Parts: sequence; C-alpha cells; structure tokens
Amino acid sequence: MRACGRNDFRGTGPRRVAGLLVSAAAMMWAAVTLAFLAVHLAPGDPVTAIMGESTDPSLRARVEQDWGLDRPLWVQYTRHLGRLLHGDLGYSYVRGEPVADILFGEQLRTSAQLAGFALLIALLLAPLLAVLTAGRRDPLSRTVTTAEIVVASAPPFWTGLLLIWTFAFTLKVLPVTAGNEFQRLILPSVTLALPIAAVLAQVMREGIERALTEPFALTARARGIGAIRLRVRHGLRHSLIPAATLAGWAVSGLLTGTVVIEEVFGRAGIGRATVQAVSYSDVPVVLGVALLSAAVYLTVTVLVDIAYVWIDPRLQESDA
Amino acid sequence: MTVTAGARARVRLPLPAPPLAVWLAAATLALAALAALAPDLLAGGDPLHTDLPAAHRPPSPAHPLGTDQLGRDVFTRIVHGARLSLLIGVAATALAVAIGVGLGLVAGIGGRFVDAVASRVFDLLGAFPEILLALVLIAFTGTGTANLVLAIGIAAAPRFARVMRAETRAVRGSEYVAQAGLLTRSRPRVVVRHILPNALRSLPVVITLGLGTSILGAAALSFLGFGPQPPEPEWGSMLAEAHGDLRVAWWSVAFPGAAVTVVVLATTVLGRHAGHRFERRAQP
Repeated sequence: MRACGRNDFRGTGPRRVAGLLVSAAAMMWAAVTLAFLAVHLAPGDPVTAIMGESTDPSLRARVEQDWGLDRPLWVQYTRHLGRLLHGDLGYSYVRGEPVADILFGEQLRTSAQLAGFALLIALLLAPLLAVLTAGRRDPLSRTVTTAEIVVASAPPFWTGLLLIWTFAFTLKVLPVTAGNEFQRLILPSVTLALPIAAVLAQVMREGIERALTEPFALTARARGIGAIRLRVRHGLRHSLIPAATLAGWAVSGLLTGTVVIEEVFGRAGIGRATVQAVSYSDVPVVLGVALLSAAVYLTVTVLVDIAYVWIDPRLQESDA
Repeated sequence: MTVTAGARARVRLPLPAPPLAVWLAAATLALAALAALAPDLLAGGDPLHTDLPAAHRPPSPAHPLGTDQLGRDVFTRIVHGARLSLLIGVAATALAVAIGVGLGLVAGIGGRFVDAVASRVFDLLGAFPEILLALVLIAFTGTGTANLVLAIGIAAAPRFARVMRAETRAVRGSEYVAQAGLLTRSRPRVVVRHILPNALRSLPVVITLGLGTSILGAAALSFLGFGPQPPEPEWGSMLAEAHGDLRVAWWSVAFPGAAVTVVVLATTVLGRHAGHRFERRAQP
C-alpha cells in the first residue's frame, strides 16, 4: 500500500519509469538476499533431507561437495543468484523435487485463474456499487455500505463456507467439486473478490462523493445531466487515484486469500502447496512462494505507479 | 488502513454523539472481553464435554447453537473459545505495536541514513503479504499458539513502524520540539518527554483497526491448522474441525465464524469512529 502511495513524481516520463524499475529491482534483490540468509539460518538443511536415514560422515561430505555447500557463504550466494536468474528456486527438503516444479505449471495456472477471475469480479463490482450508492442515503445505499463493512470484517474462508452451503448444498445451483472448470471457479473467485470489492467500493464511493462537492459537479448538474451520468462521467475518474493507492493492498489480499480459499474449496494450487510446505517446515518451498508473491506485488505496484500520471495528468503538470 | 474519512465527515459541523453502532460495537467488545475473562458466567457447561449420541444436533433450547461432530455444545465452545482467540489477537497486536513503535521511533528520530535504511526495510517487508510473512515464520518456528502469536506479531510490526515513523517525523519538525531542544541539553529527554507522547497520539486508532486484522489473521492461520490444536476451543480451529461437516451441520460452521466477524466488525466500527473524531480534532 505504501510503495505506490508515495507522492514521488520527480522527473518526467522515461526517467521516472526507469527510477521506479530500478527501485523495484533493488527491492527484489533485497528480498532474494533475505530469503537466502533465511535458508541458512533455518533449522533443517538440504543435506539431511537428501541423506534421509543415513548418518555416514563421508557421504555427508560428498553431498556437501556436490552441492557446493562446503564453499564460503559468498560463493554460495553468487551461485544462488545465478541459479535464480535461470528460474531455479532450489529443492524442496521434503519432496526432493525442484521448488519450481512444485510451484509453476499446473499449480500456478490454477491459482492465477482464481486470482485473475476474482480480480475481474472485484473490478466490475466495486465501481458499480460505488456509482449506484455515492452521495445517497436511501435504504439501499445504507444496506450496501453496511454489507461492505460486514464482508470486509468476515474471515474470507468463512464467507466461502457460507456460500458453499447456500449455493451448493441448499439451492444446488453451483457445484463445488463437480461440474466443468468454469462452474467450479465461480464460488471461490466470488469469495476471494468480495472483501476486496467491499473495501475498493468504499474508497471509490468516497472519491466520487468528494468530486460531487466540487464546482464542476454543480455546473454539470445545472446543464441538466442525470444523476447516474454525473457520477459515471464526472465522479468515477476522481475515484481512480484513491482506488489505485489500494492496488498493493489488493494484491496482498488476493495472494493471501488464494492460500486460504484453495484450502476451503479443495483446489490444488500454489496456496495448497504453501500450506503443506509450512506444515512440514519445507523452508525452500515457502520462501519460493514468498519471493513469487513479492515479485507479483512489486510488478503491480510499479505498473500502478507508472499509471498514476496516465490516470491523473494533473500530477505531471504540477511538477513540470 | 484508514479508508473512510471523506467529504461526508467534513460537512457535518459539530461533533455528534456517538451513533448507535458505536455503542453496539463497544458493548460487543465488552461482552467478548467478559467471555474471555470469565467464560463460566456466560456458559456454565464444559466446552470439552463430548456426547457422541447427541452429535450434529441442530439449534434447540438445550443447545442454543446446536452441537458439533462430537456432540459438544457449540455455544459453550464459542464462549470459551473467546479466551484463546482474543488472547492471540491481543498478544500479537501488542507485540507488533511494541516492535513497530520502537523501530518507527528510531527511524523517525534517527539521521538521514538510519531513516533511509529503516524505511527500505519496512518497504521490503511490506512487499510480502502479512499472512504469507507469518506463514514463512511458522515454517521456521513450527506450529502452536505461541509461535502463531510471534508470527502474526512480527508480520504486522512493519505496519505500525511506518505509522510511527511518519508521526515521529511530523512531531519532530514542530515548533515545540525545537523550543524544548533549546531548554535542555538532554536529547533523550526531549525524545521521551516531547516527541514520543505526541507521536503516540494517533496510535489508538491504528491499534484498534490492527486488532481486528490480527484476529482475522489468527483465525485464518488457525483454520489452516497452525494455531491451537484440538480439542482446545478456539474459533479458527473450531471452523477447521467443523468445515468438513458443513453439509450436515451448518450451525457448527456458521456460529464460530459469526463470532469472529462480529468482534472484527466491532473493532472496525470503533476504530473508524475514533479515526473520524481524531481527524476532526487535528484539522479544526
């Protein structure tokens, strides 16, 4: 939330973008270094994992030599960086497979589908709710605003369970495990989207309401523009900047929500792999997930930072 | 995450009496605190008492919220579960505030270099979602209640550190701190007597909202099985135990989750109300 909330608009165009990219790359490098150090401080090590029951010291020495674990830490570190650049995230202590194989491929696709679809729902739902209820105090708007706070306060997995009970078990309209892939995607992605849409709608409503108090809104009213049209044409764009500052928060919400919601809906994605890895203290896998999510987070915040000037050209003029 | 404090708040002029929702929220939290401190006053039964023939009974006068898969009374377990659920949330928030205030203060009063390094570290940790950061810590420390508190507390600390740093910077630049600096040669004295208390002013709002976040995070992690182990009553692990039986016993899932939601909702309502009041006082 913070990284993109910074009012850092020094420099213009390419220079600003380059600056953003450099600082994101530096953050990623720091995250990778932190993860590397964490593995070395962690209990349990790859050698023990490979050797299994055997305690033969000569075998241990050979494994350490094969893996380069007898080298100084900085040599290991540079090799580690080199491997990372080739997409090698190391080996799972528990499953003995490369971490990349556990996370990428089918799992990544499953999770990306869920998060992507949820994001789409949230991005459609939030402006809709905001436009329909901004600046109004009728019973419907009050109900919507109350529902937003309640949904944002509820544990997402509980919301998911209630949705399963309502739509799958009682109304029998949507499957949880049966049905085609798209049908199975609806309930989990709605579950994931709801709390994000709720907070986003609150922020956007506020942005629209602030715009409605501006003189240009009065002028538009005087021209005889309709209430909804006024909110869409003159209010909505003013809610985009406050909404964009939430991008980092929304990414975090999507990533953590995916972990919990895959567990509820029994989807075999990255989230499930993470939960399993955590319960077995499989540090390389957990750190791989953390690095992956940091990369996603940094990418999104950089894109949003770049988009600020495009969303609100006034920001560029003010420092030119 | 102060999201609502906008146009509407600025239009109303006098400080209104707290609305009904705020009183309800305060009452809810008081009730939850009572359940945590003296559960026997609210529910006399034994939360661990199993009664297999009475498993999965729907809500009835004998069991107002029904029974779970082992025939334990759901209402009694929710009341007794408040102790652990709230304890984890409060302890984790306290830990996060302690770490966050300390680091934020250091970054705020430190020189340019200290501040730059600290801010980068806060930004770096902020790039990992909090629950994920907590999961990484649990992967290192193992599961259990104490480790859960530690993980959530450390994961939430950067959030408080950022607020504290910003507040400290703001207070540090003010006139009265400069004056205090003229009156005494002791820099620690200025920090402790003038900067710290004033920087802490906005913290109650952040803490109240953060408490809700911690309780939600604790529920999620203990739902995943990383918190208190069964048969200990705790809201998240109750949900974990019951969610497989959702089809036959919705009440054993619906009510523990409702308890989490109501408590978090109460902290949100209180936190936002305090935030509105605070903002109005800050800019008259």
